[in-house]
Amino acid sequence: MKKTGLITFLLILCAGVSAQAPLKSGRPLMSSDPDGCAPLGVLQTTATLPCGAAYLKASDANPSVFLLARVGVPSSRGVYVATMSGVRKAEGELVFGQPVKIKAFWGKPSSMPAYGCFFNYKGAVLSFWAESRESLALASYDPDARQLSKIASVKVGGLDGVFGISASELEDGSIEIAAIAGDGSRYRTDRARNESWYDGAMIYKGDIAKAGIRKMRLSDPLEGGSFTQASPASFMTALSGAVRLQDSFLGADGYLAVNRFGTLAWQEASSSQSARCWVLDSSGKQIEYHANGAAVSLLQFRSGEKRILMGGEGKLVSCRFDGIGEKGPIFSSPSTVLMRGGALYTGSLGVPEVVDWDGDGVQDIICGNSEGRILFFRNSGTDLAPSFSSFAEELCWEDAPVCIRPGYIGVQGPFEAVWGYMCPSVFDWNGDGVPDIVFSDARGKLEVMYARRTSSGTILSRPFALREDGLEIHGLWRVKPAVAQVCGRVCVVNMAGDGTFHRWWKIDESTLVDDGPLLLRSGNPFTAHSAAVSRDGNYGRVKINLCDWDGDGDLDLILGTPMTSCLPRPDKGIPNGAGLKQLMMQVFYMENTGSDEKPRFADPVGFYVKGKDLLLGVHANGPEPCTIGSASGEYNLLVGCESGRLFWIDRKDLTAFTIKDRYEKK
Amino acid sequence: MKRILIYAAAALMAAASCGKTPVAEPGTEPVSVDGTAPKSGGILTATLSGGLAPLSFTKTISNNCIGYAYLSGGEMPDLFFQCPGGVPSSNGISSYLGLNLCEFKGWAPSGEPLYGAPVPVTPVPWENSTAILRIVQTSDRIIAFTVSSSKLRYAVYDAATRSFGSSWESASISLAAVAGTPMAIDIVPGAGGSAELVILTTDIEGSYRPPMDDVSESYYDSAGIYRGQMYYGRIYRCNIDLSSWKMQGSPSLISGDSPVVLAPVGIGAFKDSSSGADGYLCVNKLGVVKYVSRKSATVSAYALDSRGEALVNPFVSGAVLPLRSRTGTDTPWTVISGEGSPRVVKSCGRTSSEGVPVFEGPYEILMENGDLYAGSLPVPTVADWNGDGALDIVAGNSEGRLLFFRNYGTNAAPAFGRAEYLTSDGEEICFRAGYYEVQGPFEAAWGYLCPVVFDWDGDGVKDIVFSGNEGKFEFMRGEGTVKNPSLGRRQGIFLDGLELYGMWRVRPAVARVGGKVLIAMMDAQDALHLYQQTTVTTVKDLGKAVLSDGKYIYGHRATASSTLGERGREKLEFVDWDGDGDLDLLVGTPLQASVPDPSYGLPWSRTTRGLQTMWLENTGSNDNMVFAYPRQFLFRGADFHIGTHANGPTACMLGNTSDGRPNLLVSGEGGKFFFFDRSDLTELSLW
Repeated sequence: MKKTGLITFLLILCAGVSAQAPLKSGRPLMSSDPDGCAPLGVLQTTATLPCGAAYLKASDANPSVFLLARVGVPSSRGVYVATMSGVRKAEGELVFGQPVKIKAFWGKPSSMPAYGCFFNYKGAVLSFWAESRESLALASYDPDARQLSKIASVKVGGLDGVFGISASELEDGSIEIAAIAGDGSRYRTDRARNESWYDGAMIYKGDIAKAGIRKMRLSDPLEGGSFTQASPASFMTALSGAVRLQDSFLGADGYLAVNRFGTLAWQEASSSQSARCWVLDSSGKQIEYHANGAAVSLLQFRSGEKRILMGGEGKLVSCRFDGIGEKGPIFSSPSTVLMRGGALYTGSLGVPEVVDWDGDGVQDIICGNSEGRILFFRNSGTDLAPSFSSFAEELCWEDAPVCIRPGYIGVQGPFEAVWGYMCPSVFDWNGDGVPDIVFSDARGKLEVMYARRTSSGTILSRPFALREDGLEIHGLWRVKPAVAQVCGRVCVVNMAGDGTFHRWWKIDESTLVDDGPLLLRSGNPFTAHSAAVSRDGNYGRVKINLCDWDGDGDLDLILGTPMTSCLPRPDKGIPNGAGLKQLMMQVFYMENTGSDEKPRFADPVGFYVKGKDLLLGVHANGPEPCTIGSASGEYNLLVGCESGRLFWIDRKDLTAFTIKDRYEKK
Repeated sequence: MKRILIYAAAALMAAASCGKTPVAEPGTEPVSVDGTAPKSGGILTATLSGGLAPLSFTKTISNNCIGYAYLSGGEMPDLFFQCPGGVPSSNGISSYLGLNLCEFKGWAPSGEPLYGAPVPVTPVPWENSTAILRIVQTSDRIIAFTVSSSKLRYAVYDAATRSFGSSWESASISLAAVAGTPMAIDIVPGAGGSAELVILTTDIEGSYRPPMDDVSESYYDSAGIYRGQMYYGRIYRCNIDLSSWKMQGSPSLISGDSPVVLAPVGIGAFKDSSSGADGYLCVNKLGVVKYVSRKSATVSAYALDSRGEALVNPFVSGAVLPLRSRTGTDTPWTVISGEGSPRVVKSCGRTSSEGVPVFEGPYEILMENGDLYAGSLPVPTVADWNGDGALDIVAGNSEGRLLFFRNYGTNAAPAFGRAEYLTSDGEEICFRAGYYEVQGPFEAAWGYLCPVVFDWDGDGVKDIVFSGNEGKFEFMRGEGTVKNPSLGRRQGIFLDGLELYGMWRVRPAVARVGGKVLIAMMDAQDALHLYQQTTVTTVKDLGKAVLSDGKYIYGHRATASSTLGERGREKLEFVDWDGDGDLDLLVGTPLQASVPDPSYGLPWSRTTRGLQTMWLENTGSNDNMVFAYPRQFLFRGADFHIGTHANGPTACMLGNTSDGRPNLLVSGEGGKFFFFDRSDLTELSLW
């Protein structure tokens, strides 16, 4: 059944590409692997979504992929193309060159259409884009000029409810556009400000929206056509992508669908009725995309081999189609799609900790991400000149990788079920000499996983909750707690439900006692939310660090926030103070002007990098004061951000600005 | 009937000191025991060890130990229990709703205190069943105290009539100076007829519940934070004269502005001369015990267990009662009670370096000739859990624990052992929602585990499929052998990658039919919904189940009197009840359920209260289930009411099953299992 060796024509990459120096101030940490490979992605975007593949030129040996970067730093938004250069020798992963942004006919990123797809047609690279309820824009891509130009508006029927399309070249040479379209259910519902998305029975108030697949066969793209139903209209919950896969050699003709939870399903093309089955690997295990919001494209090699390419808010992966089994289609297990010369990738919204995790005397990186996982980047260099592999290890429980997710009940609704937003703090909680994980996440709980070193690596225990008076300590979501030894006691700083920062003292392994809110010099508590935003998911998200940033002997605060935050008061502060230019590096320093026993914090100051704002994203920055790259022992900064990159910043490149500075500057 | 006395091993104390429920040491159990045929309309009884069982009541949920007296001459005092929640006696079965006295009988061979069965005591007519009550023994009297309308009132006990008289006497003691809402009191007799009055109050006035514009609202805001008030305890004290019934000074706030404990429910004066500890123990609803020293009452600290960790009672708590020794003022034992079988902790006679007392336990209080007791709101399945050929009982309960009652007898004449607490992935099962809970964070110690024993993965070893107060449907794989099962970690069941989610506190019905595995639950509309397993962690949607007229089958009534926490709570089970070859449905409900129609259904639309257990006949087939309108079970032609919050029915082949058809076991909120021979069951229909 398997077609082995069908891509032997691909270039075999050899080791020997020079590893790049990992530390450049203001730049992301780069892969130090010998072949310089790292996960393929657009540098400052939250999700990299495949939107088609095509041979750019007739002479190309391999297809290139088009990638959509819709959310992220404004300058990064757009459509990118990456050219495949081969497979990685050791593991066989697909390797591409750096993605290159193309010029698109819609101009500025904010005008980007809601959806689109690329495909080959008679040797040309064409593209359809959403235009109106009756038409799609047909565009042609010029690979030499890297220019996507609109050719025509093509009248298309059946576009109502469509929110995504893909294209496949069928075996008869025709093109089929597969569309995903809602079934009329409405996910979001009306509600009052600050009202929960759930009712008193903890049932989501909106619809658990489903969608179906439609199809449109094109003999000539300019002629257009009409979509007809290719699956039941309510085919799948939270459907986020679908593509036609036809392979008569392996006896397959159907639609490969994926939803935002990463679940894959298969629908036979011969029936628009319900005939759904799961997608399995050769061992019978169900294949899933590992992160939120998957999109899928089809890679068709000249050899006949077909792969699906899946991307979303995580690494791009590919799965080779191996045929149809008794229970449905069989694919190879997902393998990471790589690029040469890439940066380390943590998954979106990385929250790093720098710590000697494996006890070898050198500081490593432990990093949580939006998938709810924790990655371990081993440092094979030194603290001064670190060397990190881009192939991070996932921290594991005894029987599975750590993956903490909210499930059905989430602050922003059930369709965010697989966003875990793991925010770990590494601290030896039980005092056994091995650092443990104290964490919070999308659920707003405060929990601990004990670490145990074994011959095969470090194993984490299942989490247990920290409590006060028997009740789980529950705060705002997506907050990285800070844990420190203070005056002979262990303290945890986290955000309470009212938005203030509290310090708790550890009583025993699972019990804390509240020491009250942290205070400003004025004696007032401080918060991080803006008066301009509703509670919802806007509150919280702050990454808290306790460290002696100024070297005066007491613990200061280094905070990372989302762009919507407003420290230290809801009505006046940074970064989202009224009228301020918000685009800044959302990392703030609050000096402890008191003592560790009785701290009093100065108003926050922000940082310029090399005299300028360094915008790393909107959703949240995860700063980690660290001595990596520090000859003096003073703290530098490592900042995780929504794009999954880890930006290292030399302390000498940091200059501070105050709230007052920012208001005066506006 | 032959009874074999089997006692738990010496490991009891070690187990108990670790905060776990004591269990018999492996290897000490009998191989087999002659049991007793269960009595129809009766309660399953404890058979082993002379009928030793946890001290329990029958139809009451909360059983708060609020007083003691040395009446029977034993080493330990006799205990008064206030049992405020439940239903009255009926069908010849005493409820114990109200006030009860339990006489100390001695010590169990395994070391626990042994008490007699509860004996009802006639209380002063209560203003309400949850009135604050404390019963204290002085040198010459036993006195009940209550707080009402900011006044302390009292009544004297007459041991001959087991009565506190017909009315309260008013003392000239005003508590108007006490701010907040009183939650509990203690009276500590002193010298010369004086006593110390200690009052535990809240730091808020009124309800901790959030404002509700309508009953469908969530208790939480859009950031997932509770909208109501987090309330804490404060302590007031003053001295009173028990002769003149006058105050000696006004009550003063001794705990200052410092919160003593979240969600306070009980207080008692504690003293241990050997360690110098002298203060108050305060227990909260979540079972946490805190200590406040008389010397520095503005600081509260966690009372500690023998490991040095915070002492926590394993269930929702309602009262704490340190017991003075017969001759002194020290309190070597303390009773902690609430929604479960009461526990005792024993003072270790030492304190931590911070001066906090350390305790052994908690240990169960036992009784002789007791019933099987599973904690409140148990949800049983009768199945041969350990593969020995005899049907056992596996039951979840409101604590979120999973209990295994091993049958050492036969199916016809079972002999059930003491509950063993099952583990998941090596940890004792205690599944609770935590802070985010349908009825608010103060219900965090309720788990409402609703399990069904079923071979979910088809490997021949029984698994547990379950839901609870989180409203999601999960399973634990049986990872051991048929004869020695152990449960793996909990795993989700998913539909299109999203957790299978529905109403809370629902036991799913699960069955294997013709190679397919079906699971039924109550969905987001509180309608009966069918799914089919596709892989061990995934299902596909078969749609809402229908009645013979095509209508859906809802569980709730149209006019909810309180929040949407009333929805759900159904205990479902597939069984071929009528022996016609297809699977019918048994449904256990709360009293306020209205099956199948919110405007007219069972049991709510009837004016009388009966067994909240219905049978829905499958008039279709296993491949295409269609259900008849529900029929409520009657026992010998009459209603049989065993509780309000929920019934947990399960068909079982216990007792006389010579016709090859199952009898019925129904659990009540009071933690007991009621057995019904099917020959005594008839059905009632509204349609």
